[in-house]
Order: sequence, then C-alpha cells, then structure tokens
Amino acid sequence: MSVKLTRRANIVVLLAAASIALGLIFPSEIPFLYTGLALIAYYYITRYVLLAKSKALNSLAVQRIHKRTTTENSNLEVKIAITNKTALALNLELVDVYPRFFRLKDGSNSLITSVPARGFVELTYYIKPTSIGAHDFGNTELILRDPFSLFFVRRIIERKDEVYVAPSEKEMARGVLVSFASSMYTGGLFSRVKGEGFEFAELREYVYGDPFKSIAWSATARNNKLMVRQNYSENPLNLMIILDCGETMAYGEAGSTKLDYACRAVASLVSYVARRGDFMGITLMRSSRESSVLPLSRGTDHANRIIRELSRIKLGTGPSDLETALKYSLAFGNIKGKTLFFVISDLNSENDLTPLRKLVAMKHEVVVISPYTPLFEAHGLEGVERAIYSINAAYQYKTREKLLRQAMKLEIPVLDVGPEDMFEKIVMRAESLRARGGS
Amino acid sequence: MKFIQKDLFLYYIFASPAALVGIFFSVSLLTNRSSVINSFYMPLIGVALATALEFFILGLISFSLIRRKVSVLSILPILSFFLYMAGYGMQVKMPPLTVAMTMSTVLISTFCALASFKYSRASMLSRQGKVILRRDGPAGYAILNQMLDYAFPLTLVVLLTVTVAWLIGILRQGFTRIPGPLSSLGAEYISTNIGQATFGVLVLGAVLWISKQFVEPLLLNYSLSKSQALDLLLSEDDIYQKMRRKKELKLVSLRGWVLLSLFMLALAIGVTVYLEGLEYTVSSLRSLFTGSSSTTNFDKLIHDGFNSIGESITRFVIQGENLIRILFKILFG
Repeated sequence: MSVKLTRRANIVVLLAAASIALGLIFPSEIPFLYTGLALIAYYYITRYVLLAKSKALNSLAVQRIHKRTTTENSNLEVKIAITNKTALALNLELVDVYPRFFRLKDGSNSLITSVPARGFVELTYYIKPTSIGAHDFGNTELILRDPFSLFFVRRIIERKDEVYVAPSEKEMARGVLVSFASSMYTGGLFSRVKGEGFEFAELREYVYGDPFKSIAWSATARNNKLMVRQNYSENPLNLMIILDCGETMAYGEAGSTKLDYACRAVASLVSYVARRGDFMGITLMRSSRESSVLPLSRGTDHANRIIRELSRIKLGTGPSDLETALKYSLAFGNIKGKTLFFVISDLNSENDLTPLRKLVAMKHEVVVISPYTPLFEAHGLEGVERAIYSINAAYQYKTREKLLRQAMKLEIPVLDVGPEDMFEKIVMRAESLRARGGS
Repeated sequence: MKFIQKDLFLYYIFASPAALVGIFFSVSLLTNRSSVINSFYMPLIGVALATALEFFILGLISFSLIRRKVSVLSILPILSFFLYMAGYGMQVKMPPLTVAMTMSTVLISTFCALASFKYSRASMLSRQGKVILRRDGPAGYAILNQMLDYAFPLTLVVLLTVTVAWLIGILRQGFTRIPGPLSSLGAEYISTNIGQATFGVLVLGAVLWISKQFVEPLLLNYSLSKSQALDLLLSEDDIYQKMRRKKELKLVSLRGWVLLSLFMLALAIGVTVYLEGLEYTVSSLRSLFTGSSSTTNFDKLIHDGFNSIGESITRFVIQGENLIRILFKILFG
C-alpha cells in the first residue's frame, strides 16, 4: 500500500515550474519564485500527510454482509459496513465489485464518502442474479485521496465470498402444477400394468399361484367361485440426471444459456418428482475428477438438497468427461433396479458416448436430452458478440453431428430440445417409462 | 438524474473558474489579433497556427469541462496564460490587472479545477443509482480533520518557504566570510533571480531530501504493517534482478568515482590550458612533479586559475541568464 502519483500532481509541478519561470523572467516578481518553491513543498507535504493517513485506511474494518443464497428473480441486498476506530476522518472512494452475472437494481456499489472519525458508514445496494449457480463477489477497493487528488493510496480487500443462486420458485411451482395435473388425468403413480397397489383395476378368477391375500371374498361369495382382486401397480421411478456443466453449456447471454435452462428444467422436474414420490438423483458432469453425485432418494428434503446443489453449480474448467461422470454415478448414486438416466448435454464438447452402452447393457434406460444451440441463440447479443456466438455455434455443430451419429449407432435416443420444451419432454419421457412398468 | 445533480453541480462550480480563465485569455488574444500581429514580425503561417491553437484550446476547454477531464482542464489556464503572455510580449495588457494578479488567478483557478476532481468522480461513481448510505460518528473530530487536510499542509508550506528564504539569507551572509573572488562571485550570483531560484531549489531539495531520509521511513514504519511491507517488497518486478542490479551498481559506482576523478582532472587541466596557455600549464605541472621550480609559481597558477575560473563562471552565468531570457522571448514572445 504505497502512495501513488496522479497526473494532477504533475500539473502542480508544472505550475511550480511556471511560477519559478515567471520569477526568472520578471526580476521584480520575486514572490513568484517563492510561490513555485511553496508549490513544490506542498507537493511533498501532501504526500507525507497522505502517507500518515494511510495508517488509518489500513486499520478500517470492512465487512460485506449479504445472504448466502438467493433465487433467480429476487433481489439480493448487499451491505458494506466500514468501521473507523481512529481519530481521523477519511474521504474515501469505495468500489465494491459484485458478481459478474448480477445486475444492479437499486442503490450504488460505488461512491465517494467521508468515513467519520470513530464512526461508521454503511452502504447498501441491491443486485439481481441473471444466472443460476455459484457466483463470486469481487474485491472491495478503498481509495484515499488528498483534498486536491494529487496522490492516492489504494487498499484492496480480497476475500472469498460466494453467493448461490437457485432456480426461481416459479420453476418449482411449474413442476408441482404439472405433477398435480398429471395425477388428475393419469392418476398418481399408476400405470396400466397390474400389480401391487391400491387402485382397483378388475376382478378375475383365481388361478394357481395368485397370493391368498388378493382373494376378494365378497365377490367369491357372489359368484360362487374364487375371485381375486387386481389393482394397478404403483410404479415409482428411479431418475438419475447427468447434467453437463462444461463451459460450452454456459455460452450465450447471461440468464439464457443452455445451462440456465437446463437447471430450471431440472428444478421443475425435481419438484414434480418429489410430489410423485419417485426417486431422484443428480450427477454434475465436469472434467475428470470434478464430477459430483447426489444419490437417488425421495422426499421434499432430497428435492431441496438437489436444488441447493443446482444453486452451487460452478462451471467446469475444461470439457466434461462423461465416462468419469457415469462411473461416479454408478458407484455413489445408490442405483438399484432399472433407472432412467437423463443425460442433459449440448453434445458440443468432444466426448465419447460409448460408456452409455454400458448403462443399456445393465438394463437401464438412457435418454440424451440435448439443448439445441441455435434454439438458444442469444437474441440479446449484438455486434461482435453475436458474431462470435454464431461462429462458435457453427463450429460446435460438427462435434454435435458426430456425437449424434454415435448415439444413433448405440440406439440411444437423443431429444433435441429448445428453451421452452425441455421440461415437458423430460416429463413425457419419464411418464412413458412409468406407463411401461417403471423402475 | 436527480441524485447526481449535487456532485455535478459542485463539479461545475469548481471547474468553471479554470475554464473561464482559459477562455478569457484565449478570447482576449483572438479579439486583439491585429495588435498582437503588429507587435511581432510573425510570418503569416505563424499567425494562422497561433489562431488555430487558440481555437484548439477553446475547443479543448469545452471538451474537458463537459467530459470531466479534470487533468486536462487544470493545465489549460497555465497554457493559455503563457500563450497570452507570449502574444503580448510578456505583458499583461489589462489595466487593472498586473502579472502577479493574473498569475494568482491562474493558480487559484487551477487549484479549484483540481478540487473539482472529487466531485466529478463522485458524480460518475454514483450515476448508476441513488446511494443508500447510513453514516454515524461524533462530529467533534471534523475540525481536527479539516486542519489536518488544509491548515497543517499550508502551515508547513509557509514554514518551509520561510525556512528556505532564511537559509538563502544565511548563505548570502556566508558568502561575505569566504575569501577572495568566491565571495564576490557568490554574492553577485545569489542576488540574481537565477541564483535565487537555483539556491532556493537546492535548499528546498536538501530540506526535502533530509525529510525523506527521516520522516518517510518513520511514516512508513508507522503506517505499514509487516505483512504489507513484505507484500510491497515482493510486488517488485524481480527481486533477483533488483539485487543483481544493486550489486552491479556497487562495482559501477567505484569505477564511476575513478572515472569522475580522471574526468575532473582532465577538465581542470583543460580549463587551465584554456585560461593560461599550454606552455605555462606544462611548466607548472612539471614543477609540481619535479619540485625543481619554486612553489610561488604553482601558487600563482592556483590563484590565477581560480580567479579566471570565477570570472568565467560569472560570465557563463550571465550568458546563461541572457540565454534563458532569449529562449523565453523566442518561445513566448
């Protein structure tokens, strides 16, 4: 933390030189000479005063106060509290850098203010997230200047400070509403397959091997022959979502990226699945060894856990590794019985789909949900950014084509989805599995 | 927009004197072009360039005022003042105003412009939204802080300037005590403007250098923590390079001293040859080494040599002063 010079300090030196020059030109104007000398002296004294005051700047206690978690559509209140315990008031320039994918909604994150001696200052501003996931705050910068801003001292406060943005409540409500609507028309967890369950399907004659507990005694008495009661079977599903968190998923306009839409769809699905009593887990696919798994489980608590995990998503540092993600998923995913694997990936990074064959061989069902890049084209982008986005999309299209051909060979269905139909397509696929007997 | 108006208003209040002073000097020159042209034998292209320069300055003033380029705005009063002075042959042709008053106006307006930076920056920082701020603290310290910001540096500046003037006075008296030509040379030199300026800068430089040696380490010791000092040290580009440079510097400095001594010796001989002639110098030098000649010859050489050097220095200084005056005349009229 040293005292830095500005261009304005050079102007004072120039002014001093001008005064001395005038003193030289006009022999009668000797005071100019001393004015010049005084200006040079002022230059140095100001520097020393600022150097002394930098001690007070150094001892300021600075805190950033905010909630750790927020949702997409809500404003986050951030407070910067500066406590000055010294006897020196400081005229400070304060700049607090909020996360890149947040927008300032109210207040200001920077200002020039005087911090009173033995007092405090509290700056409040409100920001709104545009993207889901974990976001880092930047540094808080304090700049102390002399009254004429000739010199300055900068103090940069670096601290690891994150905020987690979960999908909005609207997405969860959408999942719950769709779940409610489905149970009205298709009836809870039931499929057309008969088996264990509570929903009555039909009465039929007893055949050898039917469990005695299924004998309907009143019907037997009415028909004078052994009748059994048959119910529709309850088919809870095992759903494991493998979500690609590679960097290509985050290209585009903030808040409208493939990853954002995928997270929203997963959030809707989680609330849907929680209401339907299905098992659900999530594997966040990143580059090798960076993948993480939340095993299959059910209930609202587990749904909240998944949403919390979504809010902490951080982009992978390189292309995501499907093979490792699958390994982790099978090892730690608590997978028992037939499981429906949704692989949500834009298929834009060089990946090998062959490991998916292993899942098919294990009698699991695999569906690749692929956000189709042109459908997510960022309409908000303009000029060079838009050109870069288009070039990138065109380049990645080749990789995607290659992977689609590979999926076709492996007989793995790939569903192209856009921003609007991602959730619907996932739900339709899950319900079709349920109709076929579930997990 | 309401919330930025206060800072913006204050910015314009503080910045406008500098702009007005700049405009005043430029317009004054532009409107009295004929008298300016008549006072000099200026070629036509020169007149056109000078006019263009004035218009350029006027444009620059407007641009820097509106775009809040405080550094540019602060420099313009000085520049336009010197152009004005150049235009009128180093005179202020406004009856109630003198050079001192005009220069004082330039100084004040420049400092006002420098003070406007704070408000310009504040308005720029808070343009994103209304600042939501809560502040509390005892008001009693405000006077102390105002004193530290304004009164303390100003008092020190006055003290330092008075000290410099006092030291120059002492030096002037000191010259009377030294012998022979040096005293008259010194007294004559220090009574000139250039002498006062040189001595003033030298004395101030010495005072500041001493304060740098004692005050700055003290302040740094007081204001920096150990870890910060370490960070500061480690933030240097390359410590190894720095150390190596330092090591090289030590060797160079030794070699430098030898070279400097040789150079000074050669210079002394050269000056003696120039002043007294080759034959006289050679014989004196020979007598110095062989010891055959009488010492009075060498003493005479030293005495005459110093006398001549003194005279030459005086001549050079006077010539230098004249040269600077001519330079200023050429540059500024």
